[in-house]
Amino acid sequence: MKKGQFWYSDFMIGIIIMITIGLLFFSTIARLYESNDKIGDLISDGSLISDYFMSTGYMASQWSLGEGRIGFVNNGIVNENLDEFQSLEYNLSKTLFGINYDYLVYFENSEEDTETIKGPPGITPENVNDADTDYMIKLIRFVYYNGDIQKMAVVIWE
Amino acid sequence: MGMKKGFFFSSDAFIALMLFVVVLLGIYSYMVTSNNMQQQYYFSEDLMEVFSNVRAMDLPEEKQLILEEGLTNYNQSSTISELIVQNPDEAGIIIEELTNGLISWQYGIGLFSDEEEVYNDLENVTSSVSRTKLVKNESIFNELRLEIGVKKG
Repeated sequence: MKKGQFWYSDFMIGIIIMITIGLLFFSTIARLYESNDKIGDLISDGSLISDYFMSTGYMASQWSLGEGRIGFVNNGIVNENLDEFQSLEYNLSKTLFGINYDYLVYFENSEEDTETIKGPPGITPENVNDADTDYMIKLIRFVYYNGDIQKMAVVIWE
Repeated sequence: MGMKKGFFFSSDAFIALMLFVVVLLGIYSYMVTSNNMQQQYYFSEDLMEVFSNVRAMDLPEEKQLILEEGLTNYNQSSTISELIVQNPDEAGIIIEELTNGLISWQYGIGLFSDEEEVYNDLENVTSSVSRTKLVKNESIFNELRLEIGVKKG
């Protein structure tokens, strides 16, 4: 019998190891890209709603009817539209923004005192980090509010 | 009796596994450290907007007093950006008083009036974003540039 170049069992072991490595590699890369996509979506939606907040908005009196565009900052200064936004129902505000994720918006001054403007019931700036999610981002904007320069924080999560 | 030799060595397979782990760590570390500059963009845009529209008289009384005592050319009707260009040597008082407790230590700010440094906390800063605005200083205009970046480490 003529001799072969390699053992069949060694060949099979090598093939199995290579296939295993290949599967692990591609599944890990796919998971990495999926989580990056999720974070990218959150950043995109977070930027969208923070940009809305920082605009003057329009048709504030019609927001409760699902019309207009939310916004309550004019040249860096918070205006009277904030009252209209605070009275808006949370889920209706999500519809007006066109987002599916949950969000929380609050002001924070230099003494770290916070004032919640809108968010899901029971969620505050102090407990938002305990939300049951793997994906959450926070964006900070600066505004003039209540007689001082303050941070406006927008937290958005899946 | 001598052992018969195979073609594939187990050590080759382990080397391949190590290579895979090293490549994966490299890709993962690249994806984790890729910086999104959105926050610096917002900081610079918003601060410049607030500085350009908020007047000294709009600030809390205690801050007005600190500015009045610390600045050579103080006018409560001036905007914050006007106070900065009119008091380049004392601009640090304005920045520290107004941004203290608002901007995290991870970020460094620099302010330049006509490209002359008026405030600089940009050591070891990377991924910086710059905003420039023309600010009226009596009868002329000064170019006020605000730069914000992330501190390394």
